[in-house]
Amino acid sequence: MQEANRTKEKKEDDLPGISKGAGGAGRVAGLLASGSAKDNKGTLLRLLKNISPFKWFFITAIILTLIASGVQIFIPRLIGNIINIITSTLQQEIALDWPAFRNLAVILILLFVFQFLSTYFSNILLVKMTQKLIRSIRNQMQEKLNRLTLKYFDRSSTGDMVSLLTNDLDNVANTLQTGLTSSLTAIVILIGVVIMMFNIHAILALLAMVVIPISYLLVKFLVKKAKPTFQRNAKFTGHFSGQVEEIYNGEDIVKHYNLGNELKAEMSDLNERLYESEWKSSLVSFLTRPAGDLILNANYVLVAILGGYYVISGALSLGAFQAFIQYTQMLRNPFNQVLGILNTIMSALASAERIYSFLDAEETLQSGTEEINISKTLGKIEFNQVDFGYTDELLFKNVNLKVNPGEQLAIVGTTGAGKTTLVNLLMRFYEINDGQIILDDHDTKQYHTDELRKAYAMVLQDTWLFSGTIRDNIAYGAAVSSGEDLSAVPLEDIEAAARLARADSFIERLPERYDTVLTEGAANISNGERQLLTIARAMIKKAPIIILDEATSSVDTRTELFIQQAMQELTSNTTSFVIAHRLSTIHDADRIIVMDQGAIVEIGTHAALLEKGGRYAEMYTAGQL
Amino acid sequence: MLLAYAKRYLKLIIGQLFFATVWVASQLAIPRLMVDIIDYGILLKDLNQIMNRGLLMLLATGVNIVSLLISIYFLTRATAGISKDLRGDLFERVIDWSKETRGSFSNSTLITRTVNDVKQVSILIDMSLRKIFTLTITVIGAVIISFSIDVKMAVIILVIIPVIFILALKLTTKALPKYSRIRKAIDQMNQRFRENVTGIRVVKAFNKSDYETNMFQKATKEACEANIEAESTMMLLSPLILLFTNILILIMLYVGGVRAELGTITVGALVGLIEYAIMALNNIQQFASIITIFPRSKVSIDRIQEVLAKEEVLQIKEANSDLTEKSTEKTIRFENVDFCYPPSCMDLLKNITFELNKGEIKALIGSTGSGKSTIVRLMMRDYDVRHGQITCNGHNIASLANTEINQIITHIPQTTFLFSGTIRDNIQTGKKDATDDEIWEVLDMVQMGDFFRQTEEGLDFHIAQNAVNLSGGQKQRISIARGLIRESDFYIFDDCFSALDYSTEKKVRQAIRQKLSDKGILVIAQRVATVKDAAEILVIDHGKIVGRGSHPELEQTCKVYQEIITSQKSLNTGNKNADKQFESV
Repeated sequence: MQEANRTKEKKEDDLPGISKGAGGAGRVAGLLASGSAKDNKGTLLRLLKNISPFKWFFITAIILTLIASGVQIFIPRLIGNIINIITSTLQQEIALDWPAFRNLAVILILLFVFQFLSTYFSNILLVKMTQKLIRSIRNQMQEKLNRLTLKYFDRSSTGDMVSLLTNDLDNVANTLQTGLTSSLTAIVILIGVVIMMFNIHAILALLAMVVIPISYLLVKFLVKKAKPTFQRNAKFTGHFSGQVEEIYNGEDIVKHYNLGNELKAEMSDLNERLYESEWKSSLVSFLTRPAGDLILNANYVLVAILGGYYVISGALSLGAFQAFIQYTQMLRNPFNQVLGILNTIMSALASAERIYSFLDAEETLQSGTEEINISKTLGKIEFNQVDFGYTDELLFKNVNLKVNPGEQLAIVGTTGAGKTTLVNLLMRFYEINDGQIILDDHDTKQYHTDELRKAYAMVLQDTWLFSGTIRDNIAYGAAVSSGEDLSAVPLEDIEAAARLARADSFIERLPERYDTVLTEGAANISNGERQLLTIARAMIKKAPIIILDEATSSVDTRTELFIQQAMQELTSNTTSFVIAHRLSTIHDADRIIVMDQGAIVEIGTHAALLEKGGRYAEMYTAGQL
Repeated sequence: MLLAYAKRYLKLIIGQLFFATVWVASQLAIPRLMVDIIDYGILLKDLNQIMNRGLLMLLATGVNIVSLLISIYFLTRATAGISKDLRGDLFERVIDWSKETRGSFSNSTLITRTVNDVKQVSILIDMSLRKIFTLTITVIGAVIISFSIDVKMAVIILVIIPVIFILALKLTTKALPKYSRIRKAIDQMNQRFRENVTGIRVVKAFNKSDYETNMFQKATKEACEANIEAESTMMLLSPLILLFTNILILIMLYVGGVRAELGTITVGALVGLIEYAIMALNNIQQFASIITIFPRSKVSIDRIQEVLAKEEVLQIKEANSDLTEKSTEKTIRFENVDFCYPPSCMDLLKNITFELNKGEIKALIGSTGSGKSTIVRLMMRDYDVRHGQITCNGHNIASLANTEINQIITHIPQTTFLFSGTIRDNIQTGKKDATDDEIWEVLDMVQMGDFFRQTEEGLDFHIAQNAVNLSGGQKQRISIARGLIRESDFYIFDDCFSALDYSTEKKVRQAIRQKLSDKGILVIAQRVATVKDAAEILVIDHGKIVGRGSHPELEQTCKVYQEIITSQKSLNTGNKNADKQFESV
């Protein structure tokens, strides 16, 4: 249920800049969303603790809000008094009691200004507090990202994490910034108004009160009725955008196989159904408004009639009557707000709890302190009885491997054999369960992880590039001291790295060359070109150990050969690990490691392994290489 | 643009505006009746008057509700209808575009425009019709009724309204650009965060955690400051309007007091006027806070407009079956074709000349980015050539309709795309009325028949979105099968064997050669083994044909071809097996 609500909220938020409260739909959706925290009290306390650096902001704001809403309550009563003065002048045809009028007017002006100032300052205080608080939580979340173990990322989706930063945090921010004060104001006004009403006339007040439970039940009923309509609409919306996405992605097939007209008919059908569900669901969501209006207006009329009777019978002054009418009007807004308050707070707490559970997630491995001097690193690596598993089930059992400095190692094996895992462990992305991985005679646990990773240049299977210029993306591989920009990396270095990676020729052909901006996911260049850039990024690092994980799988063999040659010049004395499925990529390696189900099953040169006629020879003849 | 769309729902919109007006009128009538209750009922102590006006008030309340319901009914239908039309038109527009017209629109932005931007526009329409309209006429109505009650008092209201209105507008317009700054800052921040998550391994591997934190904190700082700046301005709005409202009331009370002494005003009138003043100012406040939606919608409208206004760049001809049926020549011919992708004018293809005849197998080979796939794109007329011409069965392809080109040429694309749905549905996109037998036949040709026979569902096997439940090789083979089931003169295999292992590829290619023996086949590949058997191989490098001939000829004469062979052939001595395998494929 909670999950369902989250995705629903997410869907809404994906639409750019739709203010949630904009229409009736938003209001009802707010009532429907009832994601609740498991530990409300704990989360609330922690949120308050987070607020504590700003506690004076917060407390002052709350006090100011209370004052402002308190003032709000007295104003109609005082105005009523003035009207009484005027009425008596008219009825008794005497001169106006100006001194009394003036006194009341002065009090009123003071109250107005007071109300204005307190409302404004409490708003400003809350905005400042919330924004600063949110910023600090955002920063905490980002810092947390880089401290988390990779296991966390394996388990969670990117969308969920981003949603924490956006939707959940926004939810908390809105509640703190406006939700809290408007709820507070609403409650104070509601209570105050009720008191004032009873103070003016008890029976009339009772009559006015009847509306509250009726209106509540009616809205509740409508919301319940509306739910299936909303769900249906959400379903059709999802279906439609899913189809659009698929068809746009399949552009080539759609065009070249003449599917356009057929799909147009199909989509027009779907669009028609979406239209039906859309207007129905928005109609239903708007219904709460007339329902509320009906009751409030009927209430107003009843109060007017009965109140008029009381004024005639002398039980009520005209000013009091007028004030009473004002109070019934004041009930309108707070009433709706109070209906939503519990939901708002609950859903903010649920959001806060999700954020906290992210911030509390298990952190990275213990870092050592040893520093590495890259120029001295030899690149001698040893796996010593290593056990490892991503889950409780072990993938690596007792893995042993010795790699000599400057050796070129190729790793082959089927999907899931543990090739990438080997790399992950070298970089210490994951903590091994047992055994040792040794670099240059030190257990890698002794090194500071930052220092350890300085020893490696890595090119991964997935070609992650960030949105930014090609220049910055290559420069990303170079060491930049903290606080320094990527622009500090000299262009010559970047161009040299691009040349080594054979990325220069395609970059030179782009209109803006190295300043070409890559879009998110680098969708504006081809897969092969992305790989060339990631290789260039690794080249600029000039590390003593190179890891290439299917780094050239989308590059054609001829370009790949050029890259290999370049790399060999550069890395004649570096240790390298190359994972590949292409024969051309691996056959020159000093040794080939064949992996299967987390175990190293064969090691040797290409020729020796073929001679042996084992797993490698089998893969070779089956054409898997 | 929106007006044109709104026109189709004119009746609904007029209905909505009419009933909204009725709604506002009845809403305004209630305080007016209150004036009479006070003046004629309460002050004259006439209970009948109170009851009569009370009943009228109840009637107004009834009208109020009914008209609101009707107007909402019209409103929702009109709004949903306009969104429907926009969505439909956007979709059809995008589907009809040639690749050249589509240009730099990415899939994701087109999806956003078709779905999310339309949603945003529908909110705008809803707001304009429902809120802006009623708020405006409420203010006007309140002023008019005030005049009918008491002209002098009404003048006070009339004076103060524009003052407040301008003030509210000023504040809002001051805050608006700041909101777009917030939007930008937030987008930037989210993007940083998302990329940090997706690239976590790279970030760690290159020790860029500090750098990322640094950049992220810059983004959050900007977001924080922009927010405080914008909100501080907007937060002034509602207290300020409240203050003005209160002061207005006080002024009215003062004037009322003075005139009461002269006996020129009634209490009911005073109370009523105060209510209308509150009503008017309240509406202005709502108005001001709604205005913020306009700039946001403007962005969406512009983006939709951009798609709808983009005209097809290519001169597309209507289908003319005479032309294609008459021709007996079965040849695709490239004559001195030059091409560059807009907007850059770097030549991507230069002077490409070749022809592909019926019953012939030809091949293109070259590095990534050499221009091979572009040749296919030109042949399918996704783009127009910049120079030279391409003819198809004797006609310049620019004189043919795209549907006709598609009937003559079957393109099996490089990136495999399968629809979510059954395997049968997918193959049938190649041939609509294909029977199960025909489908099994092509599946067998691509060595996938046994795979599906072994599954319980058979041809009902469900392919998930993005075909995540199939391997790369399987996807490629299904894509090939879908092409093979089509009837056409020419078949273009655009690097679509790349994920197959050698032995499977060999079987698939043999099956293709048998089935399509009387057709023209163009194979595009990076592997030498794939193109080896072609009658003629064109070697493409940097957009030019640098060699042409059969495999043995090119082996001797073409340097680039030799380099490709070297890169794919085993260099190790004593690796006879590999050579043998290489030769045998």
